[in-house]
Amino acid sequence: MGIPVVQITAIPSIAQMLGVNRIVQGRAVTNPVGDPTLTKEQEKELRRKYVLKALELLQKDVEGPTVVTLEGD
Amino acid sequence: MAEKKLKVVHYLNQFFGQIGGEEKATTGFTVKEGPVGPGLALQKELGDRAEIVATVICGDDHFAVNPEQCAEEGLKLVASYQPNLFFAGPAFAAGRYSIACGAMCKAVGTELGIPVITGMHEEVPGMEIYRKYAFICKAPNIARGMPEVLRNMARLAFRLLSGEREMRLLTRENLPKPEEHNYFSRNLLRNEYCDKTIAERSVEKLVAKLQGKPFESEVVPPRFERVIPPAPIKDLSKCEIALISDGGLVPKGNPDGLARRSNLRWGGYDIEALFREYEVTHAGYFNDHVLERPDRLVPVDVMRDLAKEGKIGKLHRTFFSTSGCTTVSKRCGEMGDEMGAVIKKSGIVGAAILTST
Repeated sequence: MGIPVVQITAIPSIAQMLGVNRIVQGRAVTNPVGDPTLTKEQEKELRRKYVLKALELLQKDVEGPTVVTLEGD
Repeated sequence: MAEKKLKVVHYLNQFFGQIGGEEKATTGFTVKEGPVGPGLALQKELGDRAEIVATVICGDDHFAVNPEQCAEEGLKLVASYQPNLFFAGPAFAAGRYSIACGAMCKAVGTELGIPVITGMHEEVPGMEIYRKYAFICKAPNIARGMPEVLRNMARLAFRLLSGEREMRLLTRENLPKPEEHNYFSRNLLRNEYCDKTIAERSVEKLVAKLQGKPFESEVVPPRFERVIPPAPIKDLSKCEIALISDGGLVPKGNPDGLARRSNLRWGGYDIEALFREYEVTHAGYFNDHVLERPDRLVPVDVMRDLAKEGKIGKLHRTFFSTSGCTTVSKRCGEMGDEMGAVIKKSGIVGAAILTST
């Protein structure tokens, strides 16, 4: 058995179709874990939220392709 | 002049191999001379042209615990008979047995280059995992269908061997059609001679489609495999985590020559050095935001903080990078396998975060 992988992507439907099991919806295609419209500090805080969400999913049992968003599951 | 009889080896589990039931599922390999159990019926289907010289048997639990190693061991036993044909099962709807049949077929087919044929129900894990490596005949979910499945397996075997003399392996003109021989597609492309050009055929099919008439597509869209989800992380504070991205972030100068589009390569880079001098090689998105701050693609700053705070064990020092722009999914899967092998070999990484543009 391999190790768990979580994918952060702005387009979860592609990841789902390909059979990725742990998926976090990212911010945008050009900046999946960032946002250039925010200040540097705000942006890092936002990035931390994405990473924590991804880590949360890595600790969860999943049955098949599962997508979570920052806003809530 | 009578043709020389083809030599056949058959693989069975402990139950069909008449070693015993579940209580014997941990039994290792045994070999019996000649056909056993379903092999007797298979021998009848094969008639005088082929002879089952040996039956290789292994317990389902024994095999399923370590399929790759068991397949290696089983392969040696099979190879010692120098067979012309290899059969396994059929496994019907049995999960562990389907893995064993598939793994044996893959090992024997790859190593000995002979036709390998098995049978499975469509819902067993062995079907998805191994259908590319073996001819897996469609089987019902109960063993009552044994005679029909064995007949189909034997028929397919002779069909494969009959075409062999003229078969041009490069173009696979003689590859039997899955729907005609009732086996699961191996995702192989077969060449055919056609009287009409591709333009004519395309237009004909389009017109048929518009008129609501039946037509047969020449290209089957890819079917993606189900991936069994690996177990979650137990203790995040002890877990070393690797970062992977398909956004094309590479060291300045792009030392491995990743292409900006239709890329087929990947690289593993020291994450500290990379973040000092980098570039982006990816034609599929607007790169400026990442060039301005690469953490927007690969969250190194946050991962470092989390490691310092003790929330995660460690950030793995190698970052795995590729550029996924119009790359075919088949090659993406291979690159994933290659990265996975390196990560597994390191022995220290417990999970990975993959960021995609």
